[in-house]
Amino acid sequence: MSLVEPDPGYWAQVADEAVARHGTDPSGTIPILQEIQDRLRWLPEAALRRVAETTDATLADLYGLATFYSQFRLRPVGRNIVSVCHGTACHVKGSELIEDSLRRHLGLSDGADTDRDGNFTIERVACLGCCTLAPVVRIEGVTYGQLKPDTAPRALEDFLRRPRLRAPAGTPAAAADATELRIAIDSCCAAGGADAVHAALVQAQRRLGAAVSVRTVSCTGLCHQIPFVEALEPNGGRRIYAHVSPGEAEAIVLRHDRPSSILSRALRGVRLCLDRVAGPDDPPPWKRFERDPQEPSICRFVGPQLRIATEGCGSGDPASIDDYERSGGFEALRKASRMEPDEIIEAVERSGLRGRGGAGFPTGRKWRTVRQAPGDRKYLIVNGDEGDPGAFMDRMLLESFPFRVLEGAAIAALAIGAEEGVLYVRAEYPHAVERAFQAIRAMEERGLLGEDCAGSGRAFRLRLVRGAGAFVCGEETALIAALEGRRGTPTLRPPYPAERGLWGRPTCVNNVETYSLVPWILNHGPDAFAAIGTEHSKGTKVFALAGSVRRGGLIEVPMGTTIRQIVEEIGGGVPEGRRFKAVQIGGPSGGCVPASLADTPVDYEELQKVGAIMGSGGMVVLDDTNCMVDVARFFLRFTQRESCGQCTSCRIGTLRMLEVLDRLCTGTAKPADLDTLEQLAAHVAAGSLCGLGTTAPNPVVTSLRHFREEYEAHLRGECPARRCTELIRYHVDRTCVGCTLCAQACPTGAIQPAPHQRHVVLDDLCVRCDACRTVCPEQAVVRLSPRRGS
Amino acid sequence: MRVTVDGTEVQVRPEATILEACGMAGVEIPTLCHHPGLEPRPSCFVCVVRVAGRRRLAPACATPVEEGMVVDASSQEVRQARRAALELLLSDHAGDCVAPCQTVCPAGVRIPEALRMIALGDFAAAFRVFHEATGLVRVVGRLCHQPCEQGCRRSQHDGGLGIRALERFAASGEVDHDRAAEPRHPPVAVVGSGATGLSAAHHLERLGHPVTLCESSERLGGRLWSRVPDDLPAEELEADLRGLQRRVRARLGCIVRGLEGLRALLRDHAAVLVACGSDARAEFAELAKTEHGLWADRETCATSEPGVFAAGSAVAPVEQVIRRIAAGRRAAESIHHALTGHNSREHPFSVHVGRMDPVSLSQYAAVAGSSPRSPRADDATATLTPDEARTEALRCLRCSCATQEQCRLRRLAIEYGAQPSRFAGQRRRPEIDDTHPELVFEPGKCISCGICVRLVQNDRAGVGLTQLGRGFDLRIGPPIGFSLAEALGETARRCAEACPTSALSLRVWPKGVERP
Ligand SMILES: Cc1cc2nc3c(=O)[nH]c(=O)nc-3n(C[C@H](O)[C@H](O)[C@H](O)COP(=O)(O)O)c2cc1C
Ligand code: SF4
Ligand code: SF4
Ligand code: SF4
Ligand code: SF4
Ligand code: SF4
Ligand code: FES
Ligand code: FES
Ligand code: FES
Repeated sequence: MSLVEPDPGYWAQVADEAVARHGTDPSGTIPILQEIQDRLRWLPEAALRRVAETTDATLADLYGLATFYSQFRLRPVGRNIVSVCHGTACHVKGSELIEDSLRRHLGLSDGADTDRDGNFTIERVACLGCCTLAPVVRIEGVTYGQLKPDTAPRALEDFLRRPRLRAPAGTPAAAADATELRIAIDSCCAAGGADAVHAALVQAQRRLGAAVSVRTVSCTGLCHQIPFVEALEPNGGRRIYAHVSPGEAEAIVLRHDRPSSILSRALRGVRLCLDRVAGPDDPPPWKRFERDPQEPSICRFVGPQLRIATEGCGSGDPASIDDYERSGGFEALRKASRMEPDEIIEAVERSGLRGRGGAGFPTGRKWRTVRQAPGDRKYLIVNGDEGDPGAFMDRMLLESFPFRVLEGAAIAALAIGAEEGVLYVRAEYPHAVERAFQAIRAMEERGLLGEDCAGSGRAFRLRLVRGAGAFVCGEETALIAALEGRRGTPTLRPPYPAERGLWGRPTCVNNVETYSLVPWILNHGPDAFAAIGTEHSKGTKVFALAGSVRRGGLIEVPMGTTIRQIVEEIGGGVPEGRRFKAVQIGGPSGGCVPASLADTPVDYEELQKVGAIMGSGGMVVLDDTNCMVDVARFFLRFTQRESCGQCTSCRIGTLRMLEVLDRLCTGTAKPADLDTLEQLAAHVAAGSLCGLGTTAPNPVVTSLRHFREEYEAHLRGECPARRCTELIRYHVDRTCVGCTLCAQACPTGAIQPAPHQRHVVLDDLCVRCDACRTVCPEQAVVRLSPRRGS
Repeated sequence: MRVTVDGTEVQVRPEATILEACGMAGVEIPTLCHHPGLEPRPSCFVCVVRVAGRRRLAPACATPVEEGMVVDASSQEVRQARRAALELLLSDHAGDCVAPCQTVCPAGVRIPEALRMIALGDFAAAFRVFHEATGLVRVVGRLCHQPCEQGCRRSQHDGGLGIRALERFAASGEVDHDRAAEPRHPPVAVVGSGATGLSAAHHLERLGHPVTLCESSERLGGRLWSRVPDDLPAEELEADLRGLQRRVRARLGCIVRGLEGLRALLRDHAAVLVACGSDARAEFAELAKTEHGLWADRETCATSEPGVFAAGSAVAPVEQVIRRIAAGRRAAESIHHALTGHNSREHPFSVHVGRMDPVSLSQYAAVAGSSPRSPRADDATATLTPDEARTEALRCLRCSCATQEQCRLRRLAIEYGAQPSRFAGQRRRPEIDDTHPELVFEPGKCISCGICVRLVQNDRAGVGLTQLGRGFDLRIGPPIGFSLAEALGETARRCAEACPTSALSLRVWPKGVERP
């Protein structure tokens, strides 16, 4: 197999071009490597040598970077990259089984990642930001969701076969009295097939010359209903179609075409989808989602939601600066441009706004520190690195409300006196990058960013930097290291970035969501904001609700809303037949809140009391089929892989903890292991430099606290949730009707077809792929634990 | 600025770190990743202290002082955190402080050091290393049942080192070693001059005690003579005995009778060691006994009579000569400790690689050269030629850490009682890079402190060393495709001197190309 013809001359040329674009100083180094990789798909040595020759970076620096950031590859890859998501939501929905199935299909042995023909390279990624469609796989920008182990390989075939559906350029102007068909096609909706539906709608409208307009809108948060089309009729009427397929597009267009009475017969095929909201029906083996989607919305998904950061969801075109401005956008910025910096800071202080990036530091106080720090040069950073592997709030905000985020950042810049800023966006979010980039351009063109920011007479230049794949770079000092062209290794605080940050200057780092709340505060007054929420946690919080709920999606709730309200009222509870067990909040730094404590309100301090943290907003609901030990192991594996590796206890201690959890999950642990685990947890928390290490034990500590009996069961070789593959075996019980479906689904022949007879699982051959249990119409395939005995 | 460390208040400059403040307060803080003159980059976390009012432990080397700061640098909590950090480092450490051969050698011969001397052609020095451990190099070279050769790592690859043959070789040349040490300590009498007694006398004398060796018969050697001439030529034994006689006072035909006899010796000796073999039980019947012999404390070798010690077959039958020699050594060290309070025993602490995976093993073997085990090493009577000996010695895989004594990791592990196996788990692979003319790089022993990286970076001497990968897989090394020499440039020696472990060490073995 030869994937690439070596061509050092060309590689060096690509390097030269990248250097020419990004410059020779250290801040350009990572962008240079990114550009080379974008073009060549890997980083050949010849290219790196050339970069070392022509820039300030040494080869040592370059290899240090190339091996730190997971995006970079030092080996050529197959034609198509298959990114298998192993984020939280995907994990709890069985992503390991999906990967196993794909690897089996491609004939990959352990260690290999590219198939023999060089068609596909399998890559593990942590969260593609489409958690509500879990488990998710992305093949070169096409996202496949809700996969099942037995049918997952069909996604590969589909990818090779499929023509790319694209919406024809230019949306036809609609007559004022025509119905508007709105569809969100942000990342996860696109992944859910919304972009194909969008294309089909546009085509149908063209072909039929129908008097309807088709518009893309911001994410609605209704991720559980995508693809999701909303029809706004001229008379104010509204219809909602959920789970629309491209084939139904024509019927929808026909229905809303003006002479509707004439065509009403044509509507027979249209299914009104509202009745489908309650539960998925006739699920296809997977859902396919096209590139560049936008999403369904959050808006009207009932329950105790309140929208500030996501205000206006499902209406305006997220890419249109005009739409934003029409809905009141930039008023706050214009106001701020006429205010004294201290006035702005005071307002933010009074609003009680605290950082939404995790720690909840008072935003106003941070701004004041930066403002008062000595020095004439200050920087602002928008932290959009969003690494929590079960969260996608920031992605959605950047895709659906980019102008609001940027407006907030510009206001902050005026307040703290920063003339330069950086928007740092995670590499795994190509659409958010694109959208934010365009938004910055659009604002520059209107004078809202640039030399004279919104007529304030002060400059604020904002540039966008893509992350290169490292969770730890969400940590502010690591982020700064990355911006300075170094490995994303955190540094000891103090000094805090507010005193000494980017290039040693005072730097204000805030989260995307934090900034997005600022315009509302200026528009409605700090007191209005402070009136929402609890005593110490003000305003609203956006959560990515995923896992075992009927209605997953992006939600925004006032602080103080209880977890139970979120899970039951907004999320519609766990699916039938399951028992709500816990909610994982705060991702790898957070913990589990057990169902018994579900009345805990969303509040920084209250969550901390029960061992969880607010975190950035990932909320994964777990039911009785989720194993708490396995979930703890999942997070530990994540932090362990993402550790920068500098601190002893984070580098080695997290692995030792993971090894104990591995032993538990494979039934080889000894009772003393639980003590070791607790000792290690204490050492790692106390002896690490940055938040990644100090919080890494949290998922273990909280689940040990609330679910100790599950750990003890594992010591006996039993997995109560029947998840840990080494502790279970598959068994066909007496209710088997002999339909042979399981035997057909089994990839290894562990079940032999025996028509009309009770089937049998041969344990030695069984790879625990779960395919048989999923296909069995009689629920006759069960998992038994412990594996040995009885 | 005023800072209080463990109750002592000190005045420090405002930019000082806690480490500096502790230094002024006379409180020693352990460090590994700290290097004077380099910006602190805290990573090892063995320097942690508790700062009053802070939630987490703080790395002293990098935390700036604050006015009125109160630091606790020695509490149980702090010491435990340091120990845990050390134990975690040791759990991912692929090195042997002490080589497996030496670990199994009952007499504790510093085998790799002796082999290194032979490899360097300094045969007299090699002899001294062998001699120091037993005093009976020729006897051991003939009679040892060579457990070290089974323990030798190379035995898993292509045959263990011919260690005993090399010991014989070392004794075959001109040696001048048997000079008496300066007598500094109280005199000791040894009763019995078999392997145990001879070895005890040798070690006591070496440690500075004038020794009286009481032998009831007319010649020294006791049971060793039973192996003459079949396994041991008389001249060899005599040569060893002659050497020893130059250093100790031998009283031949001296019969020590019962407790009375022992007490008589104690009048002009501070201690008496009973090493007269299985006769002791009957001879000194007044002392406490077991069914095998005299009772003696396992640790201190003391008997029930104050001032009287016992070792070897006097306590319980010991078959192998080398174990009798080892027993004599232990007894000598115990007596030395009892009389002077000074511990001369080498600390047994060692990290162990254990069985090495074949890939690493071949890498080490490649560095050591591919010559097979000399067939003549198996002939118990043959004496190797100097060339054969050097070739054989060069096969040594250099398992022991050459810089064991300087290694800060090991020193702290001993100080804090860290157990390398407490957090055992997946571990890095042992590796060796022997390409550099002056240094040897063993990434398995690297603790990723980054000192070398920072030193090279500051000097901008070579292409630079770098951190590769992240998390547990973080490694220090040259950029991919570059040699260590290119990476380190002029800074090489300073790196080796600054490295807190033996990961980067100055070459002490001859380099492959210089091999004969
Ligand atoms: C391991 C780690 C990862 C983090 N990831 C993010 C992130 O993805 N996004 C973010 O805004 N903050 C993240 N943070 C928090 C930032 O360090 C910083 O506190 C935050 O950006 C400040 O913004 P805020 O005050 O608006 O919350 C992370 C912190 C740690 C320790
Ligand atoms: S705690 Fe972990 S991620 Fe943070 S600096 Fe230390 S090793 Fe790096
Ligand atoms: S799928 Fe279920 S019912 Fe059908 S044969 Fe298998 S176990 Fe029996
Ligand atoms: S480097 Fe130190 S701790 Fe490691 S094996 Fe050598 S002496 Fe022992
Ligand atoms: S190779 Fe050398 S150091 Fe290692 S065990 Fe053998 S003789 Fe000892
Ligand atoms: S090799 Fe370098 S990083 Fe490793 S322990 Fe030695 S000085 Fe530290
Ligand atoms: S998309 Fe898989 S967990 Fe987020
Ligand atoms: S519906 Fe797709 S992100 Fe919300
Ligand atoms: S962290 Fe202070 S010496 Fe290593």
